[in-house]
Amino acid sequence: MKASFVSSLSVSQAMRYSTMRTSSDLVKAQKELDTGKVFDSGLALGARTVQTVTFARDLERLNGIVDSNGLVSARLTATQAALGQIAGAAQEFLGVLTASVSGDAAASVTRDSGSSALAALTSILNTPINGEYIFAGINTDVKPLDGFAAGSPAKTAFDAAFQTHFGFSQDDPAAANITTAQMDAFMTTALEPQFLGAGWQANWSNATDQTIVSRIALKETSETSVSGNDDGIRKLAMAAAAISDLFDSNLSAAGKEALVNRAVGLVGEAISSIADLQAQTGVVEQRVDAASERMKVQVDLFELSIIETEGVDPYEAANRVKELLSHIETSYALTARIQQLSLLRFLG
Amino acid sequence: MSLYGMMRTGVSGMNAQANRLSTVADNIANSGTTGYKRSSTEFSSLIIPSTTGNYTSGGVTTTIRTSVSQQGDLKYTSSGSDLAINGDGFFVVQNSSGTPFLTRAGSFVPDGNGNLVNAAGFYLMGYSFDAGPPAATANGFGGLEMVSIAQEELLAVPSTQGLFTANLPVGADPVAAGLLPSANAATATATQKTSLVVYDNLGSEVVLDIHYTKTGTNTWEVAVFNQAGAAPGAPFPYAPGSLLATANMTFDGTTGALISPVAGVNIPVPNGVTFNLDISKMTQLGMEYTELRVEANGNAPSGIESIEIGSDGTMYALYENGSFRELYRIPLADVQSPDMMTALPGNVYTLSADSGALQMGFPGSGGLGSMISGALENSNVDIAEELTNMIESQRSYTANSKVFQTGADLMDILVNLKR
Amino acid sequence: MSLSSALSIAQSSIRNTARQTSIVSRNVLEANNPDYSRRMAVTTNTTGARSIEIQRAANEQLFRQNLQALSAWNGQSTLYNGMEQLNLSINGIENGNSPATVIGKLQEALQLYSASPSNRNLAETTLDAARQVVRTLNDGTNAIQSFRAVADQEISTAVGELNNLLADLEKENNAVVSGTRSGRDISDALDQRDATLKKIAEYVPISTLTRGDNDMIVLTKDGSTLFETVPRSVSFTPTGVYSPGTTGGKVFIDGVPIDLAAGGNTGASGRIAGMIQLRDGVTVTMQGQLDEIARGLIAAFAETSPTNALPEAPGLFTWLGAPAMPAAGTLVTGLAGQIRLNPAMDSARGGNPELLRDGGASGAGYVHNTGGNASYSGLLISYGDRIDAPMAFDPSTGIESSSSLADYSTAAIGWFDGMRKEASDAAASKEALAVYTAEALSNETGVNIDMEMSLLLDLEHSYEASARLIRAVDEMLAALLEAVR
Repeated sequence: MKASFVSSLSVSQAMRYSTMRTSSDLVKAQKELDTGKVFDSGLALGARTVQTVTFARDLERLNGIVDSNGLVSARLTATQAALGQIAGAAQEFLGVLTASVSGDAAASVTRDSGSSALAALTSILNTPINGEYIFAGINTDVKPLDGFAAGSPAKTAFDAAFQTHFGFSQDDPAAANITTAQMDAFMTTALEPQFLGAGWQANWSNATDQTIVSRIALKETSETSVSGNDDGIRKLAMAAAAISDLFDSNLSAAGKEALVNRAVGLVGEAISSIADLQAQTGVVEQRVDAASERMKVQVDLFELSIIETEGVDPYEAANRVKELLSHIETSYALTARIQQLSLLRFLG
Repeated sequence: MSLYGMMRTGVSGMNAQANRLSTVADNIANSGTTGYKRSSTEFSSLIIPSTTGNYTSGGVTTTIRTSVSQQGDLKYTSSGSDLAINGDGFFVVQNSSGTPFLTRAGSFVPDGNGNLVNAAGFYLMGYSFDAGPPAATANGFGGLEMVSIAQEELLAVPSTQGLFTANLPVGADPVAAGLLPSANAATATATQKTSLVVYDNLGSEVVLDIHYTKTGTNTWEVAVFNQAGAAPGAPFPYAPGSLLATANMTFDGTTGALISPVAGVNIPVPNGVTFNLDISKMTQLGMEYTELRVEANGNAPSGIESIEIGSDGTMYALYENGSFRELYRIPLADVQSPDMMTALPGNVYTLSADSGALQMGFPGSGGLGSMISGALENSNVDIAEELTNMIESQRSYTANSKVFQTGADLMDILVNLKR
Repeated sequence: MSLSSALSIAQSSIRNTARQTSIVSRNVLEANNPDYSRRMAVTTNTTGARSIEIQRAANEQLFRQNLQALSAWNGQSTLYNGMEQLNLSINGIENGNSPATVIGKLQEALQLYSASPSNRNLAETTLDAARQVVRTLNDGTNAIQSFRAVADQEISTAVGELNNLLADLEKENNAVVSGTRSGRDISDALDQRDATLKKIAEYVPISTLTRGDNDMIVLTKDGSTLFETVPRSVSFTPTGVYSPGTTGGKVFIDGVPIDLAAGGNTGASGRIAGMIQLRDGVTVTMQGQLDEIARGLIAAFAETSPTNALPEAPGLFTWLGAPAMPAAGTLVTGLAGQIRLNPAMDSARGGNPELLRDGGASGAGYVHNTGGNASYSGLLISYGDRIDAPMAFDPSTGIESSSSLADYSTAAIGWFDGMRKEASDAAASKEALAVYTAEALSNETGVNIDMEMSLLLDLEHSYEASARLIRAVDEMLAALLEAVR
């Protein structure tokens, strides 16, 4: 009875269904065009969503490390500058000492140069950067050097050491009889433990030997600070303290000579040691910068990957929107035509 | 030869035409009467012996014929209790005093007592199914009773016979002996569970839970429980006494057909009779569980919803739950010569000496017509024919009256001769 | 043949035409009813007249396909819609609120803090990030469990509706059976029964079996009886309140439970099975993943004693079982709901956030930074490393069992989105199939108004002809009566 039968309901229903689907596709395509990303990355990628989530997270982490490397770099730059200043002060001190050896300088000049070098050293090391004492090792909330003022533990210990070694104080007239050998012995046996031995930590320094460790890349950590307990600093402090305290006392000329000679040696060693520190710090700075650079490259790569996995081609998206629009228009036109296509219109 | 004779002949002719006009009047009057059979008049000459040269006019006698055997058109109606006969035969009806008649007027409706009565007040007669399927009494009205469709009847039939055909999946995992449904443990598992509704003696529904469980290669167990004893949610364990029957089924490993039990499973329905479930067509093939046929007889009590009459004259009561039952079988009666039966008021006929003997039978058998429910038989009167007859009679009557008048005129002349 | 019989035949022709017209107008009326099957008037010859029988267009095969497609589509779309809801409430828009994202934020905060450990503000920021992690896990657990409770409620409603539909089916089936036995026109009853079957198929997948008198048996796809003479009971006991580890009640159809389906392109057919998969499958796995993430966090931030003399103890994150640690590699159900910030570090509860840098939340024996140095970063860096270090996870949660906490948390998103994508794709194709089969069925059994209209034209002609016949007979009789004077 019927060759191919189409019910009126299915004609209108099919049209409705296709229009509905196209409309919902249009909404998605428009959103994709606006954002440049797929409408719902979870739906588009399925299990591969892991990649974009991991990329996005690692991206944030890398950016975080790059930011924190900025902090580290700032600290290292400050350290480098401070070390330069210390080296300058040491150089100056050495100049005065050398003059003193050749007998050109007055005793008071030599002594003053010692105390000024010590003051410079103390002030530089005790300068906080960003609320941190950067030379304090990891004990950054405490000043690394206590100073050599009268009554300070360092001064008291120094005085006690002198008293113990010679049996009289620095001001004692008996000091005028100290020989070169005696002075050398004092320097070696009494003063060296004060500065290069346990006395440094006990009386002079609050810094820890351990320095700050920072993560400078995803899998890389590094020591990113310099401790005030470095040998160069200790030697400079020892020379400066000895000169400033002993040089204008009643010390014999022989004693003074021995003192200056020893001080010249110490400062020389200090200068080379500080230069070493500067070089090390430079290397770390270099590492941090390089790590940051590397991570920035990685960030770019990750961004590219994210765009590749969930981005959409704007031209393609625009084309799709156009296509869908024309599709919908066509189906509207078609619906209108089909609605008119009824026998009823011809049955007057 | 005599003038009087001629005048009498004219009168007899007029009488005959008057008779004929009467039948025409009746036919026209009853042209819309259901089951009415038209009457016609037949004339026969009455000749008085005469000698050569002397003719004595006789007259005409009238015989009334009724065209009982001529079927009228069928008219379809919307009432199921309107009956018509397509073919030979008559309904057997009786009047209120119990005298049987035959008729073809089938516009029956139930009266106050549920008896089917037609427009003329005659009650339809039939054989009851109360004592099993009836047989027609060949030549008499014995065993007939009034057909009644009183609506208060309720009926319940317990289930006795059922059929269950399904395929059991050959790939199912066998269940350990202790976990078989027949053990009725709380952890019992069945491979497949289904259920079937049967009826007890009072017509209450009893749901049988049927568990098919694979016990080994080609062997299955079927266990039937009364669902009323099932635990809420999961059926196991059932209340004690719920296990009604269990049987072990063995399948042919080659064809997948059931080997035993072929006699089916006998299930004692609580408060009911033994219900035989035929599972002989079950198979065990490599296909998932599929039910193919599930049947059980019996029905719950319910009132009569309507009455249906089949073309073989069987009257069914259709119950509200959809089941049905035979109530009566309506026979048809016939005689050798229906046209010779005596017509009586109400479109009924009774046997006459000339009609031949009564034959009873069921519609559709022995040359009898079939019974059509929802139809009526129109009268077999054709108005046009009647009108033509009427005109013819009228003219004929006029002609006869002219004969009479001529005789009377001649008599006048004769009487005036003597003056 | 006589004039009278000509008249009566013309009469019956008019009556037939009237009935056919009524069928046509009924067809046109119901043209937009998807549950309506086209009726056709078939004339049969009997003596002296023709009578009309009504036939109903039907295609059993297509109808069954449509039922199956309906069930599959409903199961799939229930699953997909539920997963969309879960995605929003657990992972947030574009995964912004997912455990993976907040753990990433915590890692960042930790990194910044380790770069300047002396900065107490950064310690607070890190604690804030940790608090966000805890909140995400706690809220996620609550969201999952309340989702399960809602699903449970919906199952209960659906079961109630299904039972009502089965009761309707009984009435409609009885109408069909009694109509068939009495030879009435059962088209309307069949339409109604088919419509109810379609509705039932939305809830459970069904197959049907027709026995004598059009009596129908309805079975579920797995063969349990849903309707045979009388409806079978579909029972379900709602659980009401859900916590992780709560097992929901089963839905029993005639004593047989509905199985739990699996996979994104689910085998769950019908709304009820879809909801069961959401309640007992998807959400339970998601909860397990959250629990494993919580356990991973507790383990990654556990405190150790510097001398290894003391057992590990919960650090930044702690749980109800503290000071014990949750057993390694084993799922602790509901841990994501129990995880808390350690009060010893939580400044909002009087704790000291710098214990994160120094150690010692569980006692003096756990202090690493014994000197109390402000820039000690060793522990902070090690926490960061442990988030990225491989760790054993319970394999029952659907994700490869040995990966780092960070990878595990992203893998959870991958697992979910993978399944969601599958569900979405399958929903689209199953919907298309359902629409297609409905269309095909409608083409087989539906009404085409144009065809009905052309049929109506035929009917008009035959009516006109019959009427003219009657007039002709009338005129003939009138002529005859004219003759009688």
